[in-house]
Amino acid sequence: MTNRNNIIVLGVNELYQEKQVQYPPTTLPTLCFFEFTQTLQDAIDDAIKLLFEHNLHEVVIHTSKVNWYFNLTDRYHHNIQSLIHIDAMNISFSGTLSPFKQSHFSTVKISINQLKYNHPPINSINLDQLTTPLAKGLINKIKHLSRQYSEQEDLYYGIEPIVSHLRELDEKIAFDIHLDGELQLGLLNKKGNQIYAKMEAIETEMNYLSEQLLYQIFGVTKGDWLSYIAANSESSTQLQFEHCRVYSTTINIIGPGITKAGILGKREQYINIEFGEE
Amino acid sequence: MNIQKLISNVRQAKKRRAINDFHRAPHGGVDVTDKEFNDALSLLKELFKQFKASGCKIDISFYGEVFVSLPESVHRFELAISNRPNIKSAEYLLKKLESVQFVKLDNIDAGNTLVISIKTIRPRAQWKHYSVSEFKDDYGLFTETILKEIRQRVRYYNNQNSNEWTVNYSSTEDKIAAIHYGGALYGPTSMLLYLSKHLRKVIYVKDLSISENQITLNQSYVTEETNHYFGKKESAFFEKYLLDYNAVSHDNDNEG
Repeated sequence: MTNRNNIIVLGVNELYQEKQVQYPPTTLPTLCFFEFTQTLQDAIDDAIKLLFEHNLHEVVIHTSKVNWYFNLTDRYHHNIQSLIHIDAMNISFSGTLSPFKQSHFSTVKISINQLKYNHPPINSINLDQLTTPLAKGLINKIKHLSRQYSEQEDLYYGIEPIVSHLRELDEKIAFDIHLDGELQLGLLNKKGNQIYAKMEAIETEMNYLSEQLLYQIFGVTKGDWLSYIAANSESSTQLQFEHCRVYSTTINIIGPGITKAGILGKREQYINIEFGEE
Repeated sequence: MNIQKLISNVRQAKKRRAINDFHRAPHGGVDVTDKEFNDALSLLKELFKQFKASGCKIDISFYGEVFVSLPESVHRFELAISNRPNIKSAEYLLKKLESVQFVKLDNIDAGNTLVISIKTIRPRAQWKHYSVSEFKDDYGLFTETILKEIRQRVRYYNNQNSNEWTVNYSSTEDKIAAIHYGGALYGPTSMLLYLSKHLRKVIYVKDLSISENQITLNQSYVTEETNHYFGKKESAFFEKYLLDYNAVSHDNDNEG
């Protein structure tokens, strides 16, 4: 096969060193070369699927398709164990030169989108897709969590003023009225913290579900370029999907905007997808 | 000159070449992945046949370097096989990577190719690389091209120096590389690791000799020599990786 693929060149950095083992300078490569083939692209896509299915942060796979160049000696070394690290947006490579046991150098992270395209395609978001049964199921779950979240929120902000009142009272009154005051305050504080922790857990779950929704319904993941025209607006919003969050009955997709020149701008933009009340 | 014997020498030297990774001036020779090693050897065999037919003499060193001498003169050249991407200038890429995350090289013959590299034996001689696929199995043409290039290069060389040259010699750099490699291999259980750490801070090593059970280190700015004693494990290691180990002498190493 004489495919003419792109060869990608990356700089290489030393990783954190164990105190016991120090790595001589001859064992640190200068450049990393790899070929961006269809096989590699498929492997990355599979890994991203895996990330979503199991809620993982990073997938690491052995690879032999990388070349490490050592500028110091003008050589390519072949007895290096290489790993490819894939997260939702980026990939990087790390390596271990035999006889060392742990990865001791790594490339910088590069965006999968930049790798794939000179100009990433812009996916438009079509709200009609939200009517599929899968979408409805996910939305219901999110709504349910959202309701739980606001209940907990009400509780949390219900406790808050009581605690501050009690504190004020405690300070004002010089009598021994506070014999159990400390105890009550402590209990309320503890309860407040518990509720807050629960709120955070629900929020994480909601964000996870909304990422799932965006991935499974609209086919978009972090790093994708999106465009969206809101129902009551004429101009479209274009941005790179960086993170998302749920607020009440809305999913906010947040990321840097795409300028007219087709590059990433500095200002943050929002896309708000409402799924409305039942 | 038995070609099969030469090939088997190259094969045997493969395991010693592990110290190359820790060497400041690695030895040339066959540098390919394990998978391609046999392909490289069969290529080498074909080339050896052609060189032999042209009257050249071939030597294989302890570390698997391939030296070919021209029939008509005292000059030799070194031949190496490696597997490298088709990329000419690393300096250019390094410069570019200072300002960007990565460089995309379009329109390159993708994938690694076997490359034959040759250079004459002189201190600052440059390697010249030939992609094997360019010659499409025409080994006659290939050797002709190589010999022509070498003859072109040696035309203005002085003949005298080459006589002192030998195929095998053990340099201080070899010993330092072996110490670094041994340190990495055995880790904190061996004194080699500690000596390796120490050697990294040393700017210039005047002389370093390894005899039966001790390493004698002579740094330029320290008048006294330091001795480092080692055990059986290290001794077996040096036997495997160093050419003149066990020769109990403070050798007159080359200092260049």
